[in-house]
Amino acid sequence: MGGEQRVSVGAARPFAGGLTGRAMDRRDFLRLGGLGLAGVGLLGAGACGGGGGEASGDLRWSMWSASPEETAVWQELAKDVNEKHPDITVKLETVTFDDYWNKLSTQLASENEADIVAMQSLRMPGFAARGALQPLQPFIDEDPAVNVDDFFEPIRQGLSVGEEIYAFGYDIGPILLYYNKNLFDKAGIPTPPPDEPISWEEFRQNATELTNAGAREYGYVMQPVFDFTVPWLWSGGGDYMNAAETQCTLDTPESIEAIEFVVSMFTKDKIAAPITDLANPNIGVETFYSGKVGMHIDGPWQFINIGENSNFEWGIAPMPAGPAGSVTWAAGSGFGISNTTGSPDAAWEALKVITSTESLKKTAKAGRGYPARKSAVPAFEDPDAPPPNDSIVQDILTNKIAEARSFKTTTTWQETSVMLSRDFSPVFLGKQSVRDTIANVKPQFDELLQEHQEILEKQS
Amino acid sequence: MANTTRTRRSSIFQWRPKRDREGLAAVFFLLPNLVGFLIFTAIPVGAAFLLAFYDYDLLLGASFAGLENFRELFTTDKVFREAFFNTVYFTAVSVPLSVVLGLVTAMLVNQALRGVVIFRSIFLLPYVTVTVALSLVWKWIYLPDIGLINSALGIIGIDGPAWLTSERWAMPGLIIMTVWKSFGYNMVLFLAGLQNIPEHLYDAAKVDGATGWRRFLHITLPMLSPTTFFVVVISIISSFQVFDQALIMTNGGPGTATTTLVLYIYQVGFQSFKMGYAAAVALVLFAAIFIFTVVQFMFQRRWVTYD
Repeated sequence: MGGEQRVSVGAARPFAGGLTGRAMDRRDFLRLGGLGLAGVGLLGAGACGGGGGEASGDLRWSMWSASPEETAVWQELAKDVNEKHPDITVKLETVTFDDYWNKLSTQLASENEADIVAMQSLRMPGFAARGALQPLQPFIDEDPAVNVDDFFEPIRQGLSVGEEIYAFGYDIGPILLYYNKNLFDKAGIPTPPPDEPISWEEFRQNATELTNAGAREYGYVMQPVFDFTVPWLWSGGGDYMNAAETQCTLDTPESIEAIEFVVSMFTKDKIAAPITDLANPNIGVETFYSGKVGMHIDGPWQFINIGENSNFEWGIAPMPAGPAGSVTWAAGSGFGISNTTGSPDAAWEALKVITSTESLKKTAKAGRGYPARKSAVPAFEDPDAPPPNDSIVQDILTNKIAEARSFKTTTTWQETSVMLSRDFSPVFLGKQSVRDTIANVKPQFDELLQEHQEILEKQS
Repeated sequence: MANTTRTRRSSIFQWRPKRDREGLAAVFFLLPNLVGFLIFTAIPVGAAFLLAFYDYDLLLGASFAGLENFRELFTTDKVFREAFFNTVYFTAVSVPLSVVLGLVTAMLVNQALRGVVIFRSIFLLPYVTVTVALSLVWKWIYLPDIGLINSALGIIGIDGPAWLTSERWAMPGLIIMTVWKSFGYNMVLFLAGLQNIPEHLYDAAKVDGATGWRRFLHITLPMLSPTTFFVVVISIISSFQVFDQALIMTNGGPGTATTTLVLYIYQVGFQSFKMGYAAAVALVLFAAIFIFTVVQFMFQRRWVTYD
């Protein structure tokens, strides 16, 4: 709103003078203007014309990035492709993570996707069902050198739909328990051991002892969203949907008990940091590294963040073990080949380089994420950088000390997330009981699962 | 200024009669804005009108759905009803507050005191600041324990509510922030209106012994009514479209307490990718704003005095 004054810039001088020469200058101005418009038009046409060369080697690679440092990491990999295959060049296109999905959707709708497309496991079913990527199995079958088993099981599953592999992962993250060692020492309680999950009772005990409401210190903080309730849900023996993905199972006694366990920390016992912000997706981790909270659950992607922003000693441990053991979810991202690429073979070669052990070692070293390949893990483990004993991440991913399952989503997960953030998240504010919240959520979830099944049927 | 069709031929502009020359020039001047308007506004709006009658998932393709979207909207969609009610509530409270505050401050800064220009600038400053930046700052102001407002309330012994996470106070929180932000624009418009009221009317009234309040009631308000009409219409239109604050400060929460119509369109269209349905909601929003505006224009004859 607000008036926008249009002043004809540049035309001021000819008109500002006397009456002589005025008509001449108006014509000149019009000519100049016409030429200028034509010039801009040419520029625009030129810019739109680029992209998607027919030659076997010019590939576009779309990925998200939050900083120039991140982009530099991917650029290096793009250069590596060119070094190994001189006839293939890879052009990187990045936007922020939030914008990436809008952009991908619009590109898909206009059939203007890049050749190599980044994909997150949580969004894979939705986009695979909508034809964003092509199955990689045909390429794998013809290329025996590729070792698919080197990728951790949860990310292999996460980037597949059923048995069909659509992308190779570059990072994987199980949800872990972070703890603030300084606060534990201050309260005189032992920190959670790295090789054995503590029990739910012990966890609750710790949180109670760490809470000092007067000093605004709390035992636990968590992003108050559905996703972070899932590790508790699974450790309690519950789940959000059945294996056939046809029904929401949040109303089973195990599920309800597990959710009550978490929610009551916020609403009844007040041993979890109160929620003051519903719109900040990082409020959980930010509260943790402000140093006022004893424990937090999050993925290994926060190592860098917490390392830089905290001024206390911290460590990681597996998720606490509930009635069904210590079960956590793992999700990650990877790259696939688009369905509409003009150079699938070049894209395959490039993809192999980008997700090779060498490349993942580079991304791991840059702290870009816990590598999706077992062979690249040593590069991630830096004895000097916190946290200590980050080797437990591998143990969790290979189910040695805890269970890590791929976070399964549906083709309608976008809408499901919106519904959950609207109707489930308020349960942490204590306005509505857990049972009432689930009673409200379940019918909507069931409906979305039905739509999901309909989409799957249309595909086959 | 005679017709020079027969003389110089150095440009196409000389061939035609002067009337046509000026017409052509006008078209060229309008062309950039017109082309931009067509490409970025008119055509997309037209497309959205059409989309409202389709079931368009963006990636699964479009299938004609007739009035299905609207049927669902008006019968089974609880969130749409909430969003509509929230938007009306927001408008009904924020517009009068913003208009009145704008008028009061306009009258205050309408005096020829030294430095009054500084105050005009200060009052206008929130309006010209980016809403997103303001939303982020106001999130801190509304923090329950350590935020500015609750700390101030605490000093006088009031236990402030949990503002942005409270179902009852989240919307009032947004309203307060929006009124603070937008009254400056209204102030500027009212200021212009006030300064256009001829002084002699006041002089005559003073001579007749009218008190300040009566002068306000019988001279200022009627003479200002065209400005007031404009301010109210514009405020209502922009209030109906509130989005930035709802997204950044509360993301529509808690629950649906601050989900406004435009935020709902955003959620349905860009988070759930149901473009056809989102277009239907947008169409309903357009119709609502249109009806409100038409009604106001019809009533203006009753209360707006043009001299």
